[in-house]
Amino acid sequence: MYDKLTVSHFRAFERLEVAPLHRVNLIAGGNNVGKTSVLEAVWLALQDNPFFVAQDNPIRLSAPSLFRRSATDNSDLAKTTQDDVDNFWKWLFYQKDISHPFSVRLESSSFPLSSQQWTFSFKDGLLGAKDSNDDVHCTLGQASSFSMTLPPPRPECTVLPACLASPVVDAERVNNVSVLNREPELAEYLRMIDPRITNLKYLKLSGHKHPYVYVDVGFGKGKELIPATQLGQGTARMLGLFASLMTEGTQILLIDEFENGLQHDALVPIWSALGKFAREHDVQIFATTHSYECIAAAHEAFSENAEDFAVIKLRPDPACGIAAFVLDHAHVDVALKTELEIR
Amino acid sequence: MNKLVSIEKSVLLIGESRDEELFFSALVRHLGLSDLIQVAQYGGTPKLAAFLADLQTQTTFPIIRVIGITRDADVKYDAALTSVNAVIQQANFPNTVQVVPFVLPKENSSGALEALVLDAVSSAPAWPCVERFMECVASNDTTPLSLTETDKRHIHAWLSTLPDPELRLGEAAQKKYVPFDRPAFQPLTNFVKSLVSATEDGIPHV
Repeated sequence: MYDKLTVSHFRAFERLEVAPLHRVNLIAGGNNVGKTSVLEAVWLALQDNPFFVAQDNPIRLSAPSLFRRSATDNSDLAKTTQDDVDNFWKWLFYQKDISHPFSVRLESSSFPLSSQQWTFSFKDGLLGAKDSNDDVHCTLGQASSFSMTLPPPRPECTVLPACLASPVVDAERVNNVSVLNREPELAEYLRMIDPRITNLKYLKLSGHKHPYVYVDVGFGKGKELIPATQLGQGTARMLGLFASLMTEGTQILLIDEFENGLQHDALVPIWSALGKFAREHDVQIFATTHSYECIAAAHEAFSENAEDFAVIKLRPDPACGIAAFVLDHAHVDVALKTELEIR
Repeated sequence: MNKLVSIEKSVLLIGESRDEELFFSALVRHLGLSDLIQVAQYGGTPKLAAFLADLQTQTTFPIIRVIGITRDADVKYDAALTSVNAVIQQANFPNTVQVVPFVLPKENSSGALEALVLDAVSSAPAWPCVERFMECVASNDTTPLSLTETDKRHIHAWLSTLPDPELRLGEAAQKKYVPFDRPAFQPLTNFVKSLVSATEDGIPHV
C-alpha cells in the first residue's frame, strides 16, 4: 500500500500532503475543492508514461478522459490534439502557471512497492515529464526515453467508469474470469451485494449477435438464467468492476463519485464486498463522494476492519489554499454521531 | 436524516449531549444572542478530542473565532478543568481561534448542569412535593447515589411537575420552563456573553 500522497503546484493545490493513506480512502469535501484532482494525481503518479494512449485498448482511458469530458475523438486515440493541451494539460498547473513545474508523488514503505513520482514541465512549447531519479523522460505526443536501466513497471491502476460499461465488454471480462477458473469467486463477491446470485455464465445464445453474461438468481420454476443487464444497476456495475479487478491484476482502484447510480441501501454491501476484495487481493482504493450516506455506509461496512478505512476531508484553508485531513474510524464515528457535516 | 451541523457563525458553544445542546440554545436565545452564537454537541466527554479534530475539517471552519466548551465537573472540578484544558491543548487550534472551557455547575463546585437548574427552581410551587419525593425514594436506595445522580433524580422529579411532564431538561428549557434570570445562572450567563465579547477584542470577559 502507499502511505503518503504529495502534490505540488498541481491544479488547486499549491502543496498538499495526504497521510497516512489507508486501504480504502474516501475523499470528501465541498464542490470544486479538488476531490477528483486527488484521483488524477494518484493516477498520474502510477503511470509508466503519463502521456501514453493505448491504441489497441479502447477501454483504457487517457489522462484527459479519465474523469472529465474530453474533446479527444475516440477513433483517433493515439493523436494528442492542441485542444487537449489547452483544455486539459495546461490546467494541471497551479493557477495555470506553466512556467512552474508540478509534481505528483506517492510514497510507500511496503515492499515491493516503491515511491513513484512524476514532475511535469513545459519546455520549448512541449509538455514533458520526468521521474524522481531522472531515469525516464516522457514528452506529450512522443515515445518515452529511458536511461540505461529500465525502471520496473508501476502498479496497475484501474479506473471505474462513471457510467455502466457495455454489456458486451462486461461479458468479455467475465469470460476472462472463466478462463482463470475464478467464476465461483466472482459469484461470491456479487452474492454479498445480491444474495440471490448463485452462479453466472458467459453465453452466446443462438441467433444473438454477441455473447452476454447470464446470472442464476433462482428465477421462476425452471430457475431460468437472467441476463446480467436485468440486474440492478449497482450489481451490474460491480459485475464489470470485480471481473476487471480479477483479470487485470489491479493494485490501485480509482472511483469518482462512488455513489453515482447506486441505491442508498446497496452502499453497505457494495463497500463490504469491495473491502473484502481489497484485503484479499492487496488492492488500495481511492474514491470520491458527495454523499453523507456513502460515508456512513463505508463506515458501517468497515466497522470490523476499522484500520482499513479513512475519510480524506478537503477544505479551503486561508494559510495553504486547500488543506487535507485524514479522519480515521474514531473520528468518522464521532462526526456521524454528532451529525457534523462531514461531506 | 436530520439537518447536518455545519459551521455558520464565528462563535460556537458546544455541550456534552443533544439535551445540553437544546438547553444552551434556549439560553442563547434568552440572552438575545442567537444571531451570534451557534450551539452544538460533542457527544460526551470521551469524544471531545475527536470532535474538536473533526471541527477543524469543516469547510467553513476558518470563520470560527471563539469556541466555548462546557463539561460537567462531576466529582472533582479541578480534575475536569485540567482534563478539558489538556484536550484543548492537544487539539492544536490555529491562533485565530480562542477556545474557552466552562466547567459546570460553576467554579470550584462538583456536580453538573442539573445543580444550577435545581438552585434556580427551588422556589417553584411544587418544590415541597419534589423534596418529599426525594426523601421518600432515598430510603429505598440499596446503594447511595452520587451527587450528580442525586441531582439528576431531583431534576426528573421537578420536570415531572411541569404542565408537560414528559420533557427532558433541554426540552423544558426550549419551552421556557427554566428561569434563566435567576442568580444561579449568572456565572453561566456571563460565560456565554463573554464568548461574544471575545470576538470583539479577542479577550473573553467572564
